Amino acid sequence: MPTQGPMTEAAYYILLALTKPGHGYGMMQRIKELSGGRIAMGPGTLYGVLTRMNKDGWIELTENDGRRKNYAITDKGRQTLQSEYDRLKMLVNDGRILEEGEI
Amino acid sequence: MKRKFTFHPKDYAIGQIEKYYSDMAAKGWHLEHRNIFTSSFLQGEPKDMKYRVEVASPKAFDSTRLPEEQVAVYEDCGWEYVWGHGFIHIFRAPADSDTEEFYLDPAQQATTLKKLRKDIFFRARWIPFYFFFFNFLLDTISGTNVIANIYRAWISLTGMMVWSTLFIGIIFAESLYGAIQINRLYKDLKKGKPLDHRPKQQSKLPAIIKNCLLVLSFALLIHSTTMENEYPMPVESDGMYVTLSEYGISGERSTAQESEVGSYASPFCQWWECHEVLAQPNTWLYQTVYVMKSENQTANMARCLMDTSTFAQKSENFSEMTVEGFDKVYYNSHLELVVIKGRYVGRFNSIFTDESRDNLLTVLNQKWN
Repeated sequence: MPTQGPMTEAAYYILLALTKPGHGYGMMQRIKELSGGRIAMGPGTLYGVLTRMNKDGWIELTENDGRRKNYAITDKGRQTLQSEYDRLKMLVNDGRILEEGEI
Repeated sequence: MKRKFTFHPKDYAIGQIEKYYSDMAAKGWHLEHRNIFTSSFLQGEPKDMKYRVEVASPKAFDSTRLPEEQVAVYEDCGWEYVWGHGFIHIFRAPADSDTEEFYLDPAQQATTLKKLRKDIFFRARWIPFYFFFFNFLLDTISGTNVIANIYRAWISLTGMMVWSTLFIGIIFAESLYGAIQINRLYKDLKKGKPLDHRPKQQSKLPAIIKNCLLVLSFALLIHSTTMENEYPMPVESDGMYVTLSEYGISGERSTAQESEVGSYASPFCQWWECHEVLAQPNTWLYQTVYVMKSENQTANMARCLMDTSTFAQKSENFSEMTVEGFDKVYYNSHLELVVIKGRYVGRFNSIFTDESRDNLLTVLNQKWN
């Protein structure tokens, strides 16, 4: 895997949401569900991130039925998401001393 | 269906644009198009709508709509794309719908303004250049000395000068104001202060003053053009200018080069610009005659006429003569004569002999009273 910096929260949740193909509104709903209502974003932000990830090859437009655009995660996107997940898990693991300290 | 056109808030006032369109919708006028200076509305039921502006970053000379993919995402989220052109793209949704704002993070919205901000700054920066270019143009049209030409233009073409200076000045002031406004908005957003979608109504006074000034100066411009009159030179002078035959040089007028009179007026003076060309004997007289409203201005005008003269080109190249009946007489080697008497100032170009010059002065002395 190429090394990369941390992913933005928006990008992380959009990739998570796109493990199931979706379009704008459905994606936002799924992001809200996945984050327990913690993450909300506007269409401007959503479109900005989608465009960048599409360019980077993390996601692709699957079908183009009229005005509705469906996006899905690509293999490259899945790998990137996985490595970000691994990185975050490592961070959490390393932070365990905080909980041990409480005991 | 009834349609209405109005002047709308400018591109730099994002919040004002949004408020303006929702206020119109509440009155039953729903946005149809936003053009460069005006918006068109269609009449319908009054509705409570929220309007939002998405600022695009188009490439130069690209004034297309937003990409289809972008519109699809926004419409998917409940926003209707109304109209877009260049930088400004307008969406709307019912005021009570739970549509999400485009950017929940103001700093992110700030980045969308970058290119518009640059563009507005760019426009403001070039205006002083237009102004200098305008004066430069004036200079190349009418001759040699910049300051003398500008002075003469202000005194004799006052309407045109006031109008054009005011026009350029207002455009400059507006662009500068726009640049300051968009810069302030950009900085506020970047600091995390969200965009105000319903800003306070701006005072109408500056716009009223601006329009009054424009109308007044335009009236002045129209007035000076109605005072303008250009025609073939009559056999006998019908103004404060002289004809060759009046001071003893008579002959056949040239048909190859018409003899013409231009008669003009400004708030400061009335003036004539004429040329007369004879075929037989082959001779000519070019003249510029001013009747100033105030005697104080005659010395300046005489100096200005000398500084812009075709042959001498500078007042230093004229020598002063004393002639009875005149305040001042300046002469340049049988070619150019500049004369002041009371409120009258004139410049005469011809090929003079001492005799013809003296005859001309005698005629002028009688005419200018």
